[in-house]
Amino acid sequence: MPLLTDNLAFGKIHFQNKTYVPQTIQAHIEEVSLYLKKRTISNSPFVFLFAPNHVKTVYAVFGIIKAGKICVLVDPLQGKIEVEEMMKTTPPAAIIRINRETDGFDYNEEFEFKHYMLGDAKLQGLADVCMILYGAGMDGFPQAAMLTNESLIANANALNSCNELNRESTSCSIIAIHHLFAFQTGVLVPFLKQSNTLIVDTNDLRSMRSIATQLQDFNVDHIYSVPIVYYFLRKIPGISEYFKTVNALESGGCKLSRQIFDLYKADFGIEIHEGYGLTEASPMCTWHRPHDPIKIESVGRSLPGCEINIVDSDGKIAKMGDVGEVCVRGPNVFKGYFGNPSMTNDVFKNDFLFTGDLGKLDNDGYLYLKGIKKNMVNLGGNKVFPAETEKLIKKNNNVMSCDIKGVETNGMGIVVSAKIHLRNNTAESQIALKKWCRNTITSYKIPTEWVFI
Amino acid sequence: MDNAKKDKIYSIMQSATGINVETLQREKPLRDQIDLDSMQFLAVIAKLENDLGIELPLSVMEAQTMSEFFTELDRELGE
Repeated sequence: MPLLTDNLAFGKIHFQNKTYVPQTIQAHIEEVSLYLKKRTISNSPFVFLFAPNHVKTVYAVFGIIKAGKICVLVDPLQGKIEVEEMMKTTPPAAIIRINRETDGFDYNEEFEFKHYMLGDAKLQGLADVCMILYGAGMDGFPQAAMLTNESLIANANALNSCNELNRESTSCSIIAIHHLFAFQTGVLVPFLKQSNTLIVDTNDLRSMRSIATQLQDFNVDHIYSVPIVYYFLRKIPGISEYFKTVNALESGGCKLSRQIFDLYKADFGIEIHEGYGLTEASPMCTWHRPHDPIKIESVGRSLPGCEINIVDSDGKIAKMGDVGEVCVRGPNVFKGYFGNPSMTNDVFKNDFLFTGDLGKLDNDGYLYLKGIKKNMVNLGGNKVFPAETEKLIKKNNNVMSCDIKGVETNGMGIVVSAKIHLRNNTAESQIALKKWCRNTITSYKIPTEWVFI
Repeated sequence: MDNAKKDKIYSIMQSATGINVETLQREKPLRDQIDLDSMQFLAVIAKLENDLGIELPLSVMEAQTMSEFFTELDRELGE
C-alpha cells in the first residue's frame, strides 16, 4: 500500500522569512525517518508529535509516516490530563516536542523514546493508518480517529480539483497546523500539486501585520483560515496592498457570516469560498468550487468522490429540502476510532459516516447546516463537548458537580458556561479552580462564564 | 474612562481569563499574565467590540501591557 509520502511532489516551504526547497525538505524527512527506525525500542507504531506551526512539524509528520509509523498529531497547548488519557489509548514509541527556536532537529533534546510493548490484540486494525487525531468522537470523550494514507490523499486530491493551484502558487493556512483542515490545506494540498506553502506562526495572532507582510513577501495567492481571523485581518491599515497577489480566500471551521463575506467582496472584490468538514472525513466534505455560484447561507457542494445523504430521524433518506443528519461516504472517510469498535459501529451505517451535524440539501446539491445533533459547542472552529469538559473539571477535588453548556451571547456566537458546585465555595477557591483549569485543561475548553453554587 | 465602562471591560476580561484583572501589573507584558491562546484573545477583543458597541482597531490587539491596552481603549472610546 503506497504511503502518503510516496505521492508527494513537494514545493517550497516559506517559514520565518526563509525558504526551504524540496531537496532540503526531503533530506530532513529522510533523516527523521531513519532516526526513528534506528532508535525506536517499543513495538508501538504511535509517535506523538506536539505540533506547532513550524517547518519542523512538516519534516516530522512525513518522517514519521515514511518510517512506517503513525503520527499522532497533538496540540502543543493540550492540557496535561488530556495528554495522559491519549497516551493510555495510543501508547507512544516516541514523543517529539519541537523547539520553535531552531529550524533543524536536536534529536537528543526533541525526541524522547518510550519502552511500551503492546500485545498483538492492541495492534490490530491499523493497516494503512498513518495519522491519528484526537477528536471528541460523537459522545464528547476523546477518541483516536484513524486517518489512512488513502483517506488523506483522496481528500487532498478532491480539494485540488476544486482549486486552481499550480507550481507557481503559494498557499497559506492561517490556522493551527494540528487541526486537520490546516494540515491538509497548508501542506498536503499544495505539495500534491508541487506548489508552495507559507507557514505562519499562529501562536500569536496579535501579530496580524507580520502575517500580512509575509503574505505579500511570498506572493501568497491562496489563503485558508477561519472566520474570526478573516474578521481581524481586514483591520490592518492598507491591507489591500498586502493582498495584491491573493486570488482565493477559503474558510472553514465554523460558519462564515454574511457580514465578513460582504466586507471582503466590497474591499477586495474576492468572494470567500466556504466548505464543511470534520476530522473523520479527512476532513473536507463540501466546498464552494471556483466557478460555482456562491450561496452564502450554504457550505457548498459535495467534493468529488464524497457522497452526501441527509437522513431523517427514522433513518430514511430525507426529502429534498428537509433537515436531517448529514451523512457522508467516500474514500476520504476515516477508518474508525482506534480501540473503540463500538463507537465506530455507532457512526457507520451502510458505509455512511453519520456526522452528528444537521443539515439540508437544495436542488443544486448545496448543503446548508442547520445545527448539531451531538451536544457540542463550536467556538470559532474549536469544538467543545460539555460532557468531556465536565469530566475534566470533576477531576478537581473541590468540585462536587459540574454542568457545562453553550450559551448564546448577543450577536457574538456562543460561549462555554459552567455551573459548579464546590465543596468549599469561597472567592479564593473559585479563583483556585480557574487557575487549576488553566494548568490542566486545553485552554479553549475552559468555560468563559462561571456560576458557583 | 468612566467607572461603568471600566467595570464592564474588567468583567469581560475576568470572565475570559479566570483571573482578577485588577491584580494585573500594568507595565508587565499582558501575555505573561493572562494565559490565553491567540484565538481566545481574538475572541475577547471581538466580545469587547460587541459589548462596548464599537469597532476596535488592530492597535488594541497589539498592546503589549495592560497600560498600553487601556490607553488604546481610551483612545477608541474617545476619552
